[in-house]
Amino acid sequence: MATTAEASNTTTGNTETATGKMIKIQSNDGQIFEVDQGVVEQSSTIKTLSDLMDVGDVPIPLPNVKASILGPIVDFCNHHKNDQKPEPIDEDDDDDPNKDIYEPKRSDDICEWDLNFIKQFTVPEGTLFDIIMAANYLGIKTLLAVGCKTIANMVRGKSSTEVREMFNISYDPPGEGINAPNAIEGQAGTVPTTQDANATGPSPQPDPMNQ
Amino acid sequence: MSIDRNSSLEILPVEILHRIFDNLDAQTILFSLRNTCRQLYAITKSYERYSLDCQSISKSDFDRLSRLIDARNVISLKLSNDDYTFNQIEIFLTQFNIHEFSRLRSLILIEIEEEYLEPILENINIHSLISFSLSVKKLEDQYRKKTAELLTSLVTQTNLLKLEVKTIYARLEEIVWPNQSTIRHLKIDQLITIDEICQILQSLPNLRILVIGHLYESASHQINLVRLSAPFRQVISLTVEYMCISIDDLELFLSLMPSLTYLKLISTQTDGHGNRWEQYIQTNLPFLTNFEFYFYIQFDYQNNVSDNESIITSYQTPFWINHKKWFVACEYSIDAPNSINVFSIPICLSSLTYIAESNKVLLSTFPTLLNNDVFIMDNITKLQLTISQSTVTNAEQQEMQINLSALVFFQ
Repeated sequence: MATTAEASNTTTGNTETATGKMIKIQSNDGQIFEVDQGVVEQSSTIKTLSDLMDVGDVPIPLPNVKASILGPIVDFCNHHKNDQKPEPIDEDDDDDPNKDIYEPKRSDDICEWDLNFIKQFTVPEGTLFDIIMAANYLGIKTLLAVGCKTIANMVRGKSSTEVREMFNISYDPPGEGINAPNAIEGQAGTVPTTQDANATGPSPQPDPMNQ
Repeated sequence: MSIDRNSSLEILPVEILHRIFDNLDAQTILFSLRNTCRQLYAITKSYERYSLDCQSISKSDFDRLSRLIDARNVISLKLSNDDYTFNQIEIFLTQFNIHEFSRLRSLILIEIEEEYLEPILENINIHSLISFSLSVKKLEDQYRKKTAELLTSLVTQTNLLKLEVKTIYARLEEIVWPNQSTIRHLKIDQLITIDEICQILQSLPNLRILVIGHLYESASHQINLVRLSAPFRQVISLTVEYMCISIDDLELFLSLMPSLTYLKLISTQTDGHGNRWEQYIQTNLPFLTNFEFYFYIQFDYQNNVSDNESIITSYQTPFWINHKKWFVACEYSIDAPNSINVFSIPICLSSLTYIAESNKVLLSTFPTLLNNDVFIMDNITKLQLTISQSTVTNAEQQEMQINLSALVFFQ
């Protein structure tokens, strides 16, 4: 049975508040969250669904997100709903004139609040991947960027072995599971990644960062 | 997404892994991630947005990268012939087929010998470039005309949005700028006069960000073009990393850019009083929201301590404190009060040479700033510190935390 989370003080859907119409969203395990337009605007998926559907008091189902992930996402969007929107690069009225749009992306610019937010999600529990997948599904670019930068920061400077251990990456026994020869498009049977002398194809690359 | 699978990086779809790669250098992707498993190997092969930064790379890593990377998948390339990567560009030209860099969006050439500019720029696809940066180590007169031609060809490209040039000297004057250049961001890191800058700006109607390395007064001390020029209203950000011009000339120059929202000035020989700046900004720069400066002022008379206090007082008006919320500090030695540094907080320099003396005085308009507050150092990544024995003793009693990438001590 669906339960309503305390994402807002209202108890009924489609409620007008100071920040506009309230929308109900429902996680795949039945929990309902009420969010305002400031949150909706950050999620292209929720915005599209709410625009397309005359939802009224009916919660928008989000079948790919569970409540334990959706709740923090609502918190994230509530925290950022008053942020200045990034302008498209061709807009003439860029707010930050020195923002360099031509440089490669950097991952050391996560704000302190976001750093603390993302810390609650971990690799061993799989929740770090859950939040990234959910951000992608919901079309929340800022959260997706924070998740991707967090992973990038974890990877940087690590050897292949360390990355495998950190992210629970399998050692690809030849011919098994996700690493079966026909499991990789365009690479079938050509890229062994173990030290198996019987493996076909080119030899695995040495792990330079372990040398 | 709630997926009951192993909590592994492997569950992320390719497009998200590629987004993660966007935040990583080519070395990490190709040396580390690529070798973790078969799936990531394939995904690194299909990635098309490699950023290849060879500025601080060992020769062995450079060789390995050249074997692993597909040049067609590189969108950003940085090559350097500086002292740490000597001859890298020559080696690059032998190990890569430059034609294959067909999708480059950003090209940065550091400390290149002038002779190598032609084989690079004539063989890559310059139509795809949106950003180009060049610093030349060794200029040779025989290549002067060709370099100017190559740069002219480059600035004529309609995709080019950002251009940085350093120490190309007279070649800059010989560039023929198109009437309607698309460049939005220009950095000129060499000695240049106000007249020369104004001449260039007349061909850049889309320019928004201008960075000047060293602005100086011409020998004739005439800035005729400035007086004849129409305002460059397109420019909203101006940084002058060092200048040695009179305050009158500076004000004349700034009056041509009335749309500025960001202004950064590092200067000697200028007026450090807030009253003059306040009046000037109110009259001429109505949109200015961010003003960063570091002024080294050497008074030619025996300035005394009360004079320096009057300088900091001039920045304590409602305009500075309440309206703009720009806070300022000044620092001087009691032994030489006629030499004073006046700067916005935090200090807008990335590198600072500092003589730590116990008789230094720091005055500030920031209400709670104390001598040992270090947030004023937020932007400084390299600090060269000269200390005396008495300073060491005092420092032992204070705890300082500064985010530095380099710290050099002299005693």
